[in-house]
Amino acid sequence: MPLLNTIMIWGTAAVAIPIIIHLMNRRRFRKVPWAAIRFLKISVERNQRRMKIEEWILLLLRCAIVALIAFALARPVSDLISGRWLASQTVAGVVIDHSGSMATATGVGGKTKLDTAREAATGILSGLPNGSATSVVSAADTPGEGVLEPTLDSSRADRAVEEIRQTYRTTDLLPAIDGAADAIENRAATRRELIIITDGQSAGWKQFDAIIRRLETAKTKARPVIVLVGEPGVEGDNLAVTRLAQNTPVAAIGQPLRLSVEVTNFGPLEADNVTVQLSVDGAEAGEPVDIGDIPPGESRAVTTFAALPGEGHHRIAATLPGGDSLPLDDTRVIVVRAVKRSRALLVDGEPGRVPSESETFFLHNALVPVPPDRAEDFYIAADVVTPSALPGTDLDDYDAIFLANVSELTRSSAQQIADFVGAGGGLAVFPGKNVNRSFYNVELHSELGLLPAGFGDAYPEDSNGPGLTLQAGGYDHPLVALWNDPGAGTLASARTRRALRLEIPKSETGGQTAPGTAKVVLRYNDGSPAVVEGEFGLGRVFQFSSSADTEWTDLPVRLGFLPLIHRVFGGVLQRKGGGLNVQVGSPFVRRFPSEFIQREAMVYAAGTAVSEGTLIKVQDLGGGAAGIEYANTDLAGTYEVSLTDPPEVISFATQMDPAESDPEPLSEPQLERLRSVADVVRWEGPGSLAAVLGNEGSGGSEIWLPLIVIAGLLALLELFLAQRFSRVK
Amino acid sequence: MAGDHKSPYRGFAIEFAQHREYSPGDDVRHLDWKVLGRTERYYIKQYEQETNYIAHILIDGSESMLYKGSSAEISKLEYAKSVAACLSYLVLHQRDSVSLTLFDEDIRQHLPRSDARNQLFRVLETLTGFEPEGETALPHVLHEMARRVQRKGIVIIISDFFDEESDVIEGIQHLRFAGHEVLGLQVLDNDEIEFPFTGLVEFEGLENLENFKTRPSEIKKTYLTEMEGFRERLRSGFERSECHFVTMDTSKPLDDALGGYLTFRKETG
Repeated sequence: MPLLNTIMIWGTAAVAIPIIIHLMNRRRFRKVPWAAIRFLKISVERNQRRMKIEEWILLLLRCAIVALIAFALARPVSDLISGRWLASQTVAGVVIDHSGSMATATGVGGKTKLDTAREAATGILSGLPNGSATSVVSAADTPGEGVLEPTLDSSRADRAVEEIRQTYRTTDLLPAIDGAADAIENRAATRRELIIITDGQSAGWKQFDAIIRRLETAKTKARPVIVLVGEPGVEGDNLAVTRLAQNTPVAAIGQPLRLSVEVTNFGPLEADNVTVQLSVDGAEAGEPVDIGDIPPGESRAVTTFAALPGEGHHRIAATLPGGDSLPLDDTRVIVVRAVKRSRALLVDGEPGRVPSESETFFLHNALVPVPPDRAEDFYIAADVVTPSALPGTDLDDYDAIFLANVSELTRSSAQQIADFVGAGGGLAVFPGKNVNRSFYNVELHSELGLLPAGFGDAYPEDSNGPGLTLQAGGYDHPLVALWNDPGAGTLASARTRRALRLEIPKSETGGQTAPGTAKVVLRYNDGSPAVVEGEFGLGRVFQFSSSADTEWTDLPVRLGFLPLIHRVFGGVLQRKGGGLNVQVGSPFVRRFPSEFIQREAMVYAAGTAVSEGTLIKVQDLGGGAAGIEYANTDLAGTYEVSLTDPPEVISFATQMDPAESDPEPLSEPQLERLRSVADVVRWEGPGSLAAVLGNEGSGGSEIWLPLIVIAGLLALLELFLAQRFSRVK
Repeated sequence: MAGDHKSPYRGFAIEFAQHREYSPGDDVRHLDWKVLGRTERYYIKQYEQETNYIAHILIDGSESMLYKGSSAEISKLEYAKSVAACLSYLVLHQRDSVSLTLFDEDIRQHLPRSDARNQLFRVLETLTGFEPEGETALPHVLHEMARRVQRKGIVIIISDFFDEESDVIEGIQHLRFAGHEVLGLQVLDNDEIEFPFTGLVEFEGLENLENFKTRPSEIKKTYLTEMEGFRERLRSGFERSECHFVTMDTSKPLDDALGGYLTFRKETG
């Protein structure tokens, strides 16, 4: 006989209580010296048998009462008894998908799939027996809001269904299924239902095998039911802006900002004459960009330009004409930070006799690739100093420092640069023959933690050999992702005759370099790191393995050198205002100097009123760093973080996962596997679930009530007999 | 007690004292016929002592007499001692003799009969100095007394009589055969009569008897029936032997118990 409250079965051990009391009473006899023992003996012998029988009857009754109560508390279930007066509780865990794809119109009454899902959930909840406990959780990539712990308050469950909001989040149903199953599996009930309401979008079942395993486990205690909303194959046209990216390394005022826009046709028919409208800070920027025809299932990308009106954060949006079945993906917004003019300080470790012999010659020309007479108007300025002049230089005037073949620095200069980077500046380090490796490895890498890697031995050993070339493809780091496009040229043509091996420690513990932040930006053809990136405080460091001039490598005279240096410089600047664009659902993180700790900031989400802002505080992140983290990024669009003292407004944007726009449903083999662990039902209106939810047996009835009644009757009998037996005889 | 009892030596003069003239109502059996024959005058003989009454008081000094119930102020033995002291005083006060015997399994102490004035003090001294210790064997003691005591008298047995009643009656009959008048004074505590116990009680047997754990309410009726039957059998046994049997409750005042019996005796002559 199944028990709903197994632990209470141990309560039957309480039958020992009457026995113990009985035995203890036997030790509590009042002693009386007695002379007339003769008559007492006769009386006792004559009544002995009757007294023993009465004692046994009362003892058995008391034990039976205790055992019945304990058994009733264990809530046994039996299908042998039935009746309306017997409890039969159902616990249902309802998971409702509210990811971006659920905003797709169903074509019925203007409803979205989420509307249909709410309707299905309401229908399911109303069909549960009275007294059922229900949990309702929304699901996207993480379990969302709702009532996770099953509640007996049906109105609360209904309200939770109504309050589920449409989000732009991507889908990963496993965490929500796991949470809902956990919530109901150990809940005492005669029947448990795990109901997952989703559109069955293939992309939402990223962890398909893990979900199958979880449902198999859940099936031992509950009945999984998957309710699919929306009819596959009947979705209408859907064009989506699947990518909007800034291609220009530095967003400078007056400079055209190159943007890449990608549009994908997720509809069943070819989209003709697709255009996309760019806007900057809400104002249309030029005419719509013509993308042309896009066959079903294909993407088209175009490059376009926008001009930024001033310094600071700007919202750039790419918008499709709209009117398709999923409006959420018709607009994509990014935030860029525009700067007026950026300055770089080049520290030259080998100035040479003439500028062309200078170690920083190629760096300077790459950063400011214009004739001297136009250099003043260019958005990047570069000053060259020797290491000895560094102590007298005000580093606050610069955005980044380039160390080129600098032998070593004084301790104060090293600390000066570390402070500069820690406060958000950028640093690029190029070795050369003058470099004192011990200084770099001990002071800058080990002690200060400023460099992400140590400088190892020089290689290759044969400097007259073919040397090293940079990787020809597979660029993972966003800084060099440009060269994944063959049209952008190649970095592999450069030949490096000599380099210092970059030794990345497996685990950083000293200094301010965040452990594990060292990333390889670029590799040589032998796989060894050519450029490594690391974070230090609020700033970023790029460490090169070869020289900035042509002494060790011919990269500086290659076409790729200029965009590479620009992207490094841009990477430094992006770091300063970095992390402005995150995927929906991912937290927005912004770091601040430590003096910002406990300062308040208001966050205004996309499309919400000013009065609906969220107050957050700058937290201490340890290691002298501070920052904010805002995780409630359910909606795509721009968000504003408003700081006071000093007043500052930071904008950031969130973008929907393009996979959410893809209506590709679960394949038939996948559905078949799901059917092996769950009932799969398509919602076709009220009553469509009755066939599944109504046909199963009730799972039995709880029989605690009759047990308690019997225990009560036995208690009355015991009372009566105890009174009767204790009469004078 | 003067004039309240009948002497066992009725009709026998003990010691002649003087003559006096007959007056109507005098018992003609006491006329001096010789003087009548010689002088034709009616004279009545007068004697020094009307009877030679002897009271043999036997007190049960076994451990069972130590019982003192919840409602009693004294134990059964103390009560029995008081009864014996009172009776001794009354007997000696009318110049009769008293002997005192204390017993348990056997005779423990014996004070020979005497009508001397200091006999009362000896009786009291014996009673106060006695401490019970053994079990009881009343029938044996009764037989022993019947054999020992030569001068007939009244044998007063003060005991709880917790012994085999048929054996006790045999002992009584032996005393009767020896010519004694026998009076049985059964001293019981009120607890032994009413059995008022409740709850769980372990009764510890006095006189080395076994213990019993029981719920008294469960056996009360049976006990009372047994106890009443026992007393009834004793009473009827005494009556068959033409003896008196009186039960005394130690929770009742002594004068009530003794007064009742003495009134009864006066009325029955």
